[in-house]
Amino acid sequence: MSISQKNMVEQQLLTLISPEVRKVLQRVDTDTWHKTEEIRIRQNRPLSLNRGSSESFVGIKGNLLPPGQEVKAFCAGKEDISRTMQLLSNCSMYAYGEELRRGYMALPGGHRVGLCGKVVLEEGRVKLLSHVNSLNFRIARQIKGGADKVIPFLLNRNKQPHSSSFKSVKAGSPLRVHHTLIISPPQGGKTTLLRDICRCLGDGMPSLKLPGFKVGLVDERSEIAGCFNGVPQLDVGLRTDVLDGCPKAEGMVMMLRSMSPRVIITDEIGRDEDAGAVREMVNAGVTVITTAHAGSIAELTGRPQLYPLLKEKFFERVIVLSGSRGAGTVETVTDLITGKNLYP
Amino acid sequence: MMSGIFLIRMVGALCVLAATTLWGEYQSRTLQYRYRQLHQFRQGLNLLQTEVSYTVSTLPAAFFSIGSKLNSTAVSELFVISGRMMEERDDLDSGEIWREAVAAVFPRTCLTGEDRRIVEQLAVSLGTAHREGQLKQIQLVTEQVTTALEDALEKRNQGEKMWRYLGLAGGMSLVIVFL
Repeated sequence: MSISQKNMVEQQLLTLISPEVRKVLQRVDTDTWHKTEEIRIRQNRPLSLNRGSSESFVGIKGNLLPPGQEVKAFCAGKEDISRTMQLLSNCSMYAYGEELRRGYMALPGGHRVGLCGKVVLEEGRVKLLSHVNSLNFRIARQIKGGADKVIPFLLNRNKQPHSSSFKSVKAGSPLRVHHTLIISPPQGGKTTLLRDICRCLGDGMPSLKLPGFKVGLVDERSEIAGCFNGVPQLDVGLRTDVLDGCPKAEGMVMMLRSMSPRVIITDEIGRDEDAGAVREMVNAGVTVITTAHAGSIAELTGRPQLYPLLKEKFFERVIVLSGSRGAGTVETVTDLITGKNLYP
Repeated sequence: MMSGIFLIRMVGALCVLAATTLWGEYQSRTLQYRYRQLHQFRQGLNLLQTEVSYTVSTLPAAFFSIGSKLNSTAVSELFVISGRMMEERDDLDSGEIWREAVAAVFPRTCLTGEDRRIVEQLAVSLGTAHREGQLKQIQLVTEQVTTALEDALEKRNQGEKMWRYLGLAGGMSLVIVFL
């Protein structure tokens, strides 16, 4: 993260944090910001910054404290949390009922803040979150070029139709993209890779003679495009239409009916209705690229909602990611139709 | 000589009469304006209720919208000042901002101390409550304003003409006594 990017984060995020906490965070040095992924503010507990897998407490002078020095850390009080909530909601908590129900708010610049507090239930369902006591600011960072390595494996140069959708693909149809599933454990870089794939397909890649596709992005948790007030804050491609905050299954059908996409991209499928929607899209001749939590293809077969999709070969490519050499490390790219590993 | 003294007396009498009449008029207008301002504040609260429940606008946007819909008065100014402060100040919460705006505008209104207490009630949980809680609080303040409005109407009906006559009659009495 360059200094200008640090300034950008300071302008976009720190202005939404209570003045007392902001003063401390403004003293954090540029190098620390470079690796920071999350800012965690917990009521009456030390302020901390998350960098990769390590979490460090922040001292009053903005310095990161070594383990065992928690007593010297800056602690945010109830007033700081409530002032921050006021700034986040623009003095209007009532206008963020849905966000409080979901437990996170989208912020300008594609950042997000996760919330924890007292859950209020109504008829057994989460109605809203009150008495917020923990905030997790997740800094959005877009890694452009992260998908360059995998895009060639996703293109069907032979124009062979997919076995499950052969009726909908006419002979001589143009270059198509394989139905693809990206898997990794949590924080493995799935969303980052998916965003870059979305950008590449939406923009097109002249180096690969890849024209731009009409891409429909169903972004249920506002994580891929980082929409704020419906406007994507991150680059998801010139030809990408974004359905923000919409449940995946419903969103895919809406996208198919209204925007005639060539490719539909969505994040973290896992429920029965998601699997049903993927089948519908594949059978409608639309390419689906999505992600799921799993460490390997073998682990994926243990998930009852996703196993049938693999067994019936709805997905043609599976990309396995890991954090072995940093988040988003591509471990394998597998052709599920032939069972061959295409990468490495 | 006599006519000169008479003239001075007449001018003095007219001044006394004008002063007491204006004082009566001022008292009468105060009653009128109090009623009008409370009425406008209630209108503002009704608009706020609509903004919160239907358009789900943020408070600054809602306050600017309300300020522009009400006639240019101290009450519309109260909403506009609050909205502006909410956008500019990050060291105060919305309740504190509302109280500050009330303090700034109150001297230019004809509201009583009890009216001010009611208006300040809006600060309770302003911007910090969820939708239902916010609407209930607005409703509560609206009901209190309605009660104050009935009182203001009664006092206006009773006192409006009385103060005018009192001003004029008081002036005439003083003139007769002094002359």
